[in-house]
Amino acid sequence: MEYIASLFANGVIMGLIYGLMALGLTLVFSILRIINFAHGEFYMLGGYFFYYLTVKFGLSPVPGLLIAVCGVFTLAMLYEMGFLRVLSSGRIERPDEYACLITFGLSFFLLNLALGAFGPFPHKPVPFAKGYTEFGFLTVSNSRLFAAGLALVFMAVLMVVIRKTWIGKALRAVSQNRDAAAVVGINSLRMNTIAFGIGSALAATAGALMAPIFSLSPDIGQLPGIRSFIIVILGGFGSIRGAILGGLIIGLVESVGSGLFPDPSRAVIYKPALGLLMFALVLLFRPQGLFGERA
Amino acid sequence: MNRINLRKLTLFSCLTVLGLVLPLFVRSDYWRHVAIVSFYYGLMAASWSFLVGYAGQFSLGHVALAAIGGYTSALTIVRFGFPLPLGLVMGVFLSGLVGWGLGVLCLRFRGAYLALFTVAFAQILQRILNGEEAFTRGARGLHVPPLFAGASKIPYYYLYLVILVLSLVMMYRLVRSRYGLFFRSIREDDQAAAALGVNVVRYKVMAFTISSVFAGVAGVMYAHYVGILTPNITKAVEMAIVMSMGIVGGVENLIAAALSGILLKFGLEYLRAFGAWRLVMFGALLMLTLRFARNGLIDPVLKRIAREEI
Repeated sequence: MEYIASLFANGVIMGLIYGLMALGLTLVFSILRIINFAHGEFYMLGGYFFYYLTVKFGLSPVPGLLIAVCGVFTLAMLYEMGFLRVLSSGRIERPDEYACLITFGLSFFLLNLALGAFGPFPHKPVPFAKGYTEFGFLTVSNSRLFAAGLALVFMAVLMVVIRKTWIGKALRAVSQNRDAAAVVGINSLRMNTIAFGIGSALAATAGALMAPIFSLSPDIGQLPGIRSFIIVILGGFGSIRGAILGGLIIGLVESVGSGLFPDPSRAVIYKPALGLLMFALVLLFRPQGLFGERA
Repeated sequence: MNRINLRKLTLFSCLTVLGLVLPLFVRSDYWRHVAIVSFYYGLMAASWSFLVGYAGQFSLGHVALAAIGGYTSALTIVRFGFPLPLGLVMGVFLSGLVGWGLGVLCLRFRGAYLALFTVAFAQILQRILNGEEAFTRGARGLHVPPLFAGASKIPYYYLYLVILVLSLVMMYRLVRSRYGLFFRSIREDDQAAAALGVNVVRYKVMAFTISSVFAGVAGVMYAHYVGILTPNITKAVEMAIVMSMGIVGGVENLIAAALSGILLKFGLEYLRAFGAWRLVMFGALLMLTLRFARNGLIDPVLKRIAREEI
C-alpha cells in the first residue's frame, strides 16, 4: 500500500514536469503548425545551462533556473528567425517536410554540440532543496517536491500570460485565424518567434527541473522529447488541457507500471517501448488525440 | 521510351569506372574498408531519397528497415541454420514485407505524422533488439558470418559496388518510367493525382515497399561485411546521417544522393580526429543546405556537368 502510494506520488510529480514540457511542444504546434523534433534538445540545453550557472558560477538554484531558461528562450527565438521564418514566406515548396527536416537537423546538431562542448560524462547540478518531507506514511524528497512546485508555478504563469495579457491574446488569435489576426494588427511573424521561444523555454525549464533529480548527459533529451510527442498525441495537438492531463497520465503509467512490472531488468528497457506502442496505436486509431477535438 | 541523355550516361559510366579502378590506386585496407561501408551509406541515402524525393513520404524509420534486413539474414543463418544465400534473400524479403506493412499503416499519415510514426517504429525496434538479448545478443553484438573467406577487401568492394550500381540503375529506371510520374504526381498533390486516375493507395504502398527492399539490401550488405551487428544501427543519429547525405546530395536525384553518401562517409572518416565536432559540422551542413540550397549541393553540380537545366 505504502509502496503503491509512493509510486503514485512520484508519478504525479514526474507527470507535472512532463506536462510542462509537452505544453511547450503543443504551444509551438498550435502557433507555427510544425512539430519541433528538437524539443528534447532544448530540454537538454536547459539542464546544462542550469548546471553551469549553479555549479560553475555558484548561482543559487532559482536565479540559475531563470537565467538558463532565458538563455534557451533567446537561442530558440534566434533559430526561429534564421530557419523557420522562411516557412511563412510561401517560398518553401513542401513546408511540412522542411519543418520536420530542419528541426530534426537541429536536434542532431545540438546533440553533437553538447557531446563536443560538455563531454559524454554525466554531470549533476545542485539540488533545489535537501532532505525529505513526510506526509503521513509517505516520504518525498524535497528536491522533487520543489521541482513539482516550480513546474506548477510555471504552468500557472503561462496560463495567466495566455489568458490575460496582450501577447497571450495575440497568440490565441494567431492560432485561431492567422489572416484575421493580421487584419487587427497582430504581427504574426513576431508571434511565431515568441511562441517558438516560449515553447522551447518550457522544455528548458523541464530540463533544468529534472537535472538535479537525474544526472545530465548529452542524450538526456531524447527520451523526454519522444515522451512529449506521446503526451501531445494523447492529449490532442494544440490542446493545453490535453498536454497537462496527458503528462499526468504518462507520469503515472510509467511510475506505477514499471514499479509493478515483474521482471525489473526488462522493465527498464521496455518502459519507453510501452509508451511508444501506445503512441503508435493512438496515432493509428485516434489521430486527433484522446481528448482533442477533430482538427 | 525516353531519349537517352548521352552526357548523363557518360557521366554515370565515368563514375562507375572510377569506382572500378579505384582499388588499384588505393592500397590501404583502411580506406578500402571505408569505401565498402560508404557503399552502404550510398545505397541508404539513394533509397531514402527515392522515398522522400519522388514519393514524398517522409520516413525517419529507414535505418530500422536496414536493421531488419541485416538482423533477419544474420539470425536465420545463425539461429535457424539457414544456408547463407537463403538467409540473404530472407533478409531482403522481410525488409520488403515490413516496408509493405508500414506503407499500408502509414497511408493515412502525411508530413509530420508519418515522421513521428516512423520514429516510433525505429525506437520500438531498437528496444526489442536490445531487450531480447538471448536471441539477438543485444548491445553485445551479433556475429554475422562473412560472405567471403579471407581478409581481402577486394571481393567485397567489387560485389558491393556492383550491387550499388545495379540498385541505382533499377531505381533510376523506375523513376523515369510512368511509375515515377505517378509517384511524383502523388507527392505534389495526391487528390489531384487520384482525380486523374492514379491509384494513390497502390503507388504509395509500392514506393514504400521498393524503398524498403533497397534498405534491406543495404542492411544485409552491411551486416555481412562488418560481421557484427548491434542495435546501434537503428539509432536516431544513424538516421540523421543518412538523411543528411540525401539532403546534401539532393533528394530529387538518386545518383547525387548516392554520391553524397559515399563522399560524406569519406569526409566523416577523414575528420575522425575531430570526434563529436565532425557531427556538429555535419548537422550545420545539413541545416544550411536545407535552408539555402534546397536542391542539395551535388545535384546542381551533376546537372551542370550533364548540361541539364537546373
